[in-house]
Amino acid sequence: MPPQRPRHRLFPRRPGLTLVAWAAPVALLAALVPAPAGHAAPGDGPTLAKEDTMHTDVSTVLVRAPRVTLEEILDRVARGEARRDSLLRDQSFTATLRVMRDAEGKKGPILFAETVSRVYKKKPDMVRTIELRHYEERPEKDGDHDDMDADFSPSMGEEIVNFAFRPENRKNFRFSIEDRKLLGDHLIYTLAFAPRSALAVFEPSGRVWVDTKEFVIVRQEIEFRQSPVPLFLKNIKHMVVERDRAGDFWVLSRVLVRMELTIPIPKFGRAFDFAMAMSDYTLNSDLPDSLFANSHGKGGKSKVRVGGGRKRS
Amino acid sequence: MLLGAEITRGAPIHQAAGRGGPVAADTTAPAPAPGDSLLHDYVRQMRDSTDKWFGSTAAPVDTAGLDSALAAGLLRSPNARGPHGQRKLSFDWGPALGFNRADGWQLGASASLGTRWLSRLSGRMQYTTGTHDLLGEGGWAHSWRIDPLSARLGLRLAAGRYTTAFDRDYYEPILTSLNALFAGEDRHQYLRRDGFIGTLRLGAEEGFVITSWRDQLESSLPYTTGWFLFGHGPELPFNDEATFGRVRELTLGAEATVPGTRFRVNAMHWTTDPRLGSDMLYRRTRLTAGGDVSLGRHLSLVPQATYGLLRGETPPQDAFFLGGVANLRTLKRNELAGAGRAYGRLDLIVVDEIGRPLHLPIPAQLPLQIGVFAGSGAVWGRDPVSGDAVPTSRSWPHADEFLSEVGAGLMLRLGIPSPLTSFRFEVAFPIGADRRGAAYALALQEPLNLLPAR
Repeated sequence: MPPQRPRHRLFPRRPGLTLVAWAAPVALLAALVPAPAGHAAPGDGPTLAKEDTMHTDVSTVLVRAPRVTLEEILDRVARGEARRDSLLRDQSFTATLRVMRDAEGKKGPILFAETVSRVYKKKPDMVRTIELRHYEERPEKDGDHDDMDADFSPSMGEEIVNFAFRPENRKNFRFSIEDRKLLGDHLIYTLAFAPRSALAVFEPSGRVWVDTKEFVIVRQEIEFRQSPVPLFLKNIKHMVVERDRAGDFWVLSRVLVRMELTIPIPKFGRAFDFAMAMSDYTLNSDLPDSLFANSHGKGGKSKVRVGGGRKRS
Repeated sequence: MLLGAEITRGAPIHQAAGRGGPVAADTTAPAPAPGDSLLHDYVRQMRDSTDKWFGSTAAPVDTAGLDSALAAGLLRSPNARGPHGQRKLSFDWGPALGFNRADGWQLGASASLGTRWLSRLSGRMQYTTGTHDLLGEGGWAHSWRIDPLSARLGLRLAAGRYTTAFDRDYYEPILTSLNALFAGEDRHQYLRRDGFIGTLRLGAEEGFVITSWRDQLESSLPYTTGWFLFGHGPELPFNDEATFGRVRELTLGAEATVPGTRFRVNAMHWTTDPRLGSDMLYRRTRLTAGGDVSLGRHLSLVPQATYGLLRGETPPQDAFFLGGVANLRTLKRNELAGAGRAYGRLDLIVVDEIGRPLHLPIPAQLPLQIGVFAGSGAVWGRDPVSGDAVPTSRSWPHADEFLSEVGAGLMLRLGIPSPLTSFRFEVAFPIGADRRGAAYALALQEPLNLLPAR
């Protein structure tokens, strides 16, 4: 059926007025005029055209496979992460730890301290960190740098990426599927997670992007409903954990956090950023034990101290 | 599997000798498959948005000079920490201050020394202005990772002389000292302990087990200090006498999370016996359980209960106490003592921040929460005349011994020392006809205050 013309012209035709120019007032009018009950009588107003000349036939596809449940996805992510961890024998990477002050000042974030290190890890518990460069905006007179100190864990498990998916933690979070996206032969699930306990308003919630081809997490955005330490930390505005591809593995590449202090610190400001970037990964290259010497198990958890007041001799 | 693949982003970074040094073999990653490239584009888009949000914070590292620094670093001994020298030991110190009506001021300092080989040595020395005594303690602590259990084993050995409260379950020295100093409202009783204590603790995410042994002389302290900062005459112008004697006591304890829940159960048992060389004979047991149940996103129900029983002799310093911010608000702190105690409390907390919607003049970042509660508790095995704990064969109180209350409170969550710690202001009303009246309480505690801090 061809589109019907309006029986009455609402606006006088003017030369040069295009169809697009017509559409706006017509749509506005259609929105403003209340719709009459029942069918509009011919001649009551404009009639909208309906496209009915293009047809396509798509044959029905009967999908017999059950849709993967959320529980199954979570199980597979846990297994995928465990598998990834088990396949890693050793790794080395360049780690950059950075603190930026006045993150929301007029000049933008200003570098306050930065440490670049080369980190070597080997299973079961060997780790060696070689500091390559250290910068402080206001270095201490004694040359010591207590403001930022990094000790890396021998573990390659990347708990900061998969903490919510670990079997021991899963009961503490509520998960939901937010989105699915097909990219080539990769199906990317976006999963939301939030603490199951209402009391834990300070615990992280967020979204993770999972590549279901290997069931590994490729990205995570974290937010906090309330600050964990409201007395000192006003809020954690934004936190992003990113992974990148290194050969067959997805590895932690960046952790970026912007935080806001309750009370601004002189010459530091209120909002500051913390960034940890890992690059130049070398994986499973059979690092020799001699590289680590007596550093077995040393280091414990990854630890970053900012503004510490410890005295060392 | 592709070995030795690498990521390179931003500015080109140093090559093999720099990255892997003399030990790593790098190979360049092949071009991703078409399906992979879509994924990588997608991930890159998100990364770009992160770069934009964080600005220069997200900028790639300047790689100039890193190659030579790494070459120099690899030449150093693996045990050297870096260009700024090896971390040999750490030293912390600080004031050690306290105040109570028995010791008066406790003035001194504490220090700790951390070394890689000796672990942590700590010490404290104080002079008391009331008893003109020297208090001090020296300790050594170390911990080991137990990988198969994902746990940590800690050992602490300490010896010395110190003052502590009769209430072995809920005593917080810093806040109690402040209360005694500024308001004279300290209602604890104090005793002196001299001797040795050793503690072994295996702790993991899901719980812990603990055992300790102590060999200490316990003795009374006199009432020496009748003043406080803003007045004279503390609320209790005396200090109860403790049973004198050498105590050789074994402690066994455990705590575990109930599987599939957010409830924890804590059990502690203390035993001392003349057969262990002790002057006293008792078995002290305490069971505590608590957790939270979420009612949607905005309400949290927090039930908790504790039960304690002292068998054998009943030294006052080992009794169970009831009353005050630790449990029943409508009783004064430690108003009742007995050989047994049962107490339960149920809190309903609105977890959302209510200060801003109500336009209350409080710092905007401190979340103010509101809640209501009900509690009920009893002590038994107590002398009705002296009020002291006396031996009892009963394991449970009579129904008429229970004292109950309901109340409401505001909680200003400070997050120090734990994220759940709040400054709580509560009003409690007694249920039942007795001489208790409505009471208010100020406390710095977590909702699950009956469970010991982890």
